[in-house]
Amino acid sequence: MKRTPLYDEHKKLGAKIVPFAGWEMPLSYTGVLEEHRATRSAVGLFDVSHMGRIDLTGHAASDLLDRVATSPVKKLAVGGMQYALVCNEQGGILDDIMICRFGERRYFVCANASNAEKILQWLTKQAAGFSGVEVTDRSMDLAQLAVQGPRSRDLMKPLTLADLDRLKLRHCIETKVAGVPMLLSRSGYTGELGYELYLPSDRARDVWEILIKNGAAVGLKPCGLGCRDTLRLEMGYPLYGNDMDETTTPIEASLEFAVDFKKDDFIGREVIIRQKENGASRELVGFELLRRGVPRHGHKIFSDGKEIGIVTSGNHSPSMNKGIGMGYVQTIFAEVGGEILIDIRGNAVPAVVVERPFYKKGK
Amino acid sequence: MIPEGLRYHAEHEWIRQEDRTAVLGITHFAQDALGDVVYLELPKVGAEVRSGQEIGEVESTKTTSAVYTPVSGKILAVNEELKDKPELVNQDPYGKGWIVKIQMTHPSEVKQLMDARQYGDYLKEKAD
Repeated sequence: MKRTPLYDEHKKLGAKIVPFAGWEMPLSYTGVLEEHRATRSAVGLFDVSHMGRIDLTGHAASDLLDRVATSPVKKLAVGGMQYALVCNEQGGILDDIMICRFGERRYFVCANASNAEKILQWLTKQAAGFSGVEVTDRSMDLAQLAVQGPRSRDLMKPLTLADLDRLKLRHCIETKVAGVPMLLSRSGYTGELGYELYLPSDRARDVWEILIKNGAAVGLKPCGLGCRDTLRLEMGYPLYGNDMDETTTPIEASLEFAVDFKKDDFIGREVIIRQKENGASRELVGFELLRRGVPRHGHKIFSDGKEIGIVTSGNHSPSMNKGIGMGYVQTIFAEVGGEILIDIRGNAVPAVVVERPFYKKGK
Repeated sequence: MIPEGLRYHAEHEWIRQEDRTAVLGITHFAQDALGDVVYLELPKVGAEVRSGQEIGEVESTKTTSAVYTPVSGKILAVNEELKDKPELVNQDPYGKGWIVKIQMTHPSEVKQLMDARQYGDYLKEKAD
């Protein structure tokens, strides 16, 4: 089991530690609900150092990424950031990633913890077809923090010279925070205003401690993977391994927005474009339960006594106080407003297909 | 942390006997392991239950866990307050967080359950 540079800090704060993708990670410190609410109303501080971090440098870095990722990489300006999928030749999703361009020939990729090794190998393998790109694993020498919530800017501003008022969503900058040089992006997995910090592992504790100390004044709580999951679910963000994997395509996973269909070439393009034209037989949808209950990964979905799909993510939404979930259904049942039944251990609980995000700010 | 005077089941339920009535809840250990409780699926009042049977479910932000009854009888009452305040199971597992009351058909079943000391040893064994 791997440990992040902040493992001892988590233990000190009394975190419940659980195994996750080969890492010993904090599940929660004071309770999932409390941490969830702190992120929605103030600031949540997350150690997400378990994620994969990869540098791509050289004049061919953008060519490599453009071939490997589904997004319009060539349109990414310095300081920009893109959400993208990495697919295999069959259009199956190998991972969903964030790409930061922080220099003319310098890119940074953030991959899911469960896929970090696979993506590193995939990029290294694909890089063989290009001259002038170097792929470097930074997963261990860099740590990663997420500072998320409506008060996160108030917390971060006094700690950095970077102009955070001008740092737009999905943009990144090289700067110092609390005197520590790092890559800082405005991004996250919670739907809130927030930042992600990619910093040297040996300085992670210093920055963590300052954020905890200064954060007290704005209601910061250290947050674990438990609320990271309820927060992302409320936003309808799919989770790799639950809501998508190598057997699902971007079309099926309702991730067309991350695919640049005008691009001449990227791995998986043919299958994905054919499926876009012909339609997929199943689609990922969001649903809300119409009565009390909690849908979970693996529950079957029915309509008129027929099995039509399966739940891939589900939980109780702390913000809306009801059961919400995502799942694959036959495409004819994917329309918003349609009623479906979730088989919760033998009880057919009525649910309705809804738009995502489930949770809308201020409503 | 483990109150005297209650009896304990290996599935981490507690029973408080009041004559032929058993009040049932889940233990501090159980609520702590589950994390924030957000919903409970409770049996219907009047339902007949047998010892060892699953009578309900506790849903937390983390997982779903079954509630078992270690005694047989008829459901006399369910804790209606938990519908709006499931968090009582976390906040006061041995008090306001009680789950059901059962009219026992065989009150002697209670004697087969662990007392506080035995349950404490049982938890220690599990931790080792």
